[in-house]
Amino acid sequence: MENKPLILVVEDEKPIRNFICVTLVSRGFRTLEATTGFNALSLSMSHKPDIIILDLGLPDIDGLEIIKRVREWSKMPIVVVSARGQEKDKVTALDLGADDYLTKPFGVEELIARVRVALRHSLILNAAKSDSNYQLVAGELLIDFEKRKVMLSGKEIHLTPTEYKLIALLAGHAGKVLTHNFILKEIWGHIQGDEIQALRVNMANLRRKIENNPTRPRYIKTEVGVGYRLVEE
Amino acid sequence: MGVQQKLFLFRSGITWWKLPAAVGIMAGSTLVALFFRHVGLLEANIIMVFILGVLLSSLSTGRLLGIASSVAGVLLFNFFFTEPRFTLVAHDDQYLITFPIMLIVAIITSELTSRIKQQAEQSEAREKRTNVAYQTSRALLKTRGTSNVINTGMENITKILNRNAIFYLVESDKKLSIPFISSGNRNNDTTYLTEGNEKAAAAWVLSNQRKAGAGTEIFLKAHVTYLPVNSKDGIIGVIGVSCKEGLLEQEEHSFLEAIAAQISLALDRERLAEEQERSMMEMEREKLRSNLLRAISHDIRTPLAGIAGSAGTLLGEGNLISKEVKKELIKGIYDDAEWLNRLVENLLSITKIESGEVQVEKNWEAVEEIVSETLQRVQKRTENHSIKIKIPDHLILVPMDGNMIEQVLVNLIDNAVKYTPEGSSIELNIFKEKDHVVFKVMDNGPGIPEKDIKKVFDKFFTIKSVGVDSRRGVGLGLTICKSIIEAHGGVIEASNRPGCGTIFSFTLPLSDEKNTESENNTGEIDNGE
Repeated sequence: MENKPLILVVEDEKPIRNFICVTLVSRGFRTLEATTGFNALSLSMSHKPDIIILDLGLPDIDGLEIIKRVREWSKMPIVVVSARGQEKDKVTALDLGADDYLTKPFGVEELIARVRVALRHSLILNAAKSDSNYQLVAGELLIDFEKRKVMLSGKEIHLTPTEYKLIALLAGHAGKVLTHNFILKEIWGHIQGDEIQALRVNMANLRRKIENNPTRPRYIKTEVGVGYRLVEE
Repeated sequence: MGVQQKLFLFRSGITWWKLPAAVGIMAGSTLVALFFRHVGLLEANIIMVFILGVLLSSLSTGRLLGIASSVAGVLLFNFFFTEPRFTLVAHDDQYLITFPIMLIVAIITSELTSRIKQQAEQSEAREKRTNVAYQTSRALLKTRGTSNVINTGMENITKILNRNAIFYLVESDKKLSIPFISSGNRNNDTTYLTEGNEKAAAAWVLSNQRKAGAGTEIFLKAHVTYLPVNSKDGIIGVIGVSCKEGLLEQEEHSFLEAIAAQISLALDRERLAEEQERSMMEMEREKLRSNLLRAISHDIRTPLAGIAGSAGTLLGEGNLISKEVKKELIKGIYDDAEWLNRLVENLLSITKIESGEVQVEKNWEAVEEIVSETLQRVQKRTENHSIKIKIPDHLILVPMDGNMIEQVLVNLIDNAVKYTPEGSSIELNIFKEKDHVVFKVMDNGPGIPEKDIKKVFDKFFTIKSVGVDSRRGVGLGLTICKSIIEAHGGVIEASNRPGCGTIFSFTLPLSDEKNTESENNTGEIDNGE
């Protein structure tokens, strides 16, 4: 019997909760529902879901608080749901340990995509990292982590060390959004005033090397106000 | 000179140069008189010279020396001009009449002259004070702002009275404010103005609405004399003038009261102006609220009706409808929901902007990134239009609130879609100019009627004649764009293209721009659909 992943859906509004659960079940997942923060916390501890979908606007506790508490004892993926124009909340949630976010109103495809990406990365984390030949393929793009090479349509692309680190980081979290802060810390080691410009410049150069059309990127999507995401097709 | 003599001189107000001056004048008179005698003029003329000398001496050196000069004049006349010369004896008995009369005349002259001089000085001071009072009145008419009013008044008081001055406002909780202190340019110590005793005196004036401090019976040990500043609603301030330099004279006191009255009038006027502004803002807010309510109820009901209708049909007639019709109904529901979503976003934006909650947080953003997310967001709505993007090949970084500028671009493109027929083209053109970046959204649709071009950014303004999508907007999209762009320090404007079509163009300032050259220079990047 196939072990279907268990998803804890924390959302106090019934129609949205219904929509999410129905969609997930139809795609082969099992769901668990919670309408309040405290309920969510206790359910997450008792049932150990594989992933939590968490609405930030809960009536009892702040969603950010829930993320903090869960992260105290588990690395299970958390996808937050929030409204438009609350980029700050999303960034805070991500920096606190959430893995991705959905903006209301969102569609079915987006929901499933986020769930799949989050699950895959948690599996990678849990599985033994013995695979040293690890490569990532996304469309025409191939990133070889072992040889530290990037190929587009079979041809090698020459990247500066920083540009490689960037694409490798995004590829290592393929499908997941990475906040500016996270990228700056991982690659530059610290966050300071001018670093954000360096990030933009490097991103722009990278984009020009691997994208056909920088204003309609195929691989590296910008999430304004939040961060960047490598899109797998 | 002994101490007593020094004190005497000091108290009579004799400054150091006056004694030599008086001596000099009398000596000069003597010389002139001797000359007259030598030339052979009558004795009467010689006496007149001495009287003249006494007059000049009184004018320049004051009352006391004037009298001394009178006596000296008589003695000099006796010594130099009466037989026997060079003695203080006079043989002719007639001089017994001449000398006293000469002395009386000299003394009266000296006295009158001093008095005239004193009165002239007082007149001058009075005129100066009246002038300043007039100037203050004019200045206060022009001054705006409570602090400015008080400062203007205080500065003028210090200017004329040459004393430190202090002013307390009475705040809404009936307590005294932090004081305004004016000390002119004299850089002297003003800490004594706010000592415990002084504050107590001021507080007493506030509660009893009478004067107190130096020169009065209450708190008479204070260094400052305090007056209440009244308006028709009661006491609104306490004004104080330092008496360390001596008590105020009658005229100075009148002057102080006059200025205090002027300050009070101006403060009253300020308060009324503030109240008026507050009620006007309230009115504006009420107007906006009622307009919003109207917009909300009308423009939300329409798509809701559509959704309810389609859903109802699907529920009721589900089995009897073909798959294609079903799909159409469902798409209708989806479109209506999206439209509502955009409407709600715009409404939220406008209420935030109006209530001043909007904080523009600028970060360095890449123009191409903003454009790419914008295109993603409008993708579904622009399926029937061709979008062309023209931005330079090299990276342009601009300080901006990325989400807000994205909202502006989305609103502009939405407008272009709404007001042009299917198949039209929309072009987004971005380029750098000196110290700002220009964004242009152009279409080749019917354009905006000339009479409406100036009004497009007004709240709730929409154009009646519409394109394919017959749903009118609330008329807030462009208003929001304008607020956002202006909050960034930029400018937005609408114009018609020569030929046909509309251009919406806005600028964003670059306080510090970073540019990196990539391979080529400016190129065109097409949407190849």
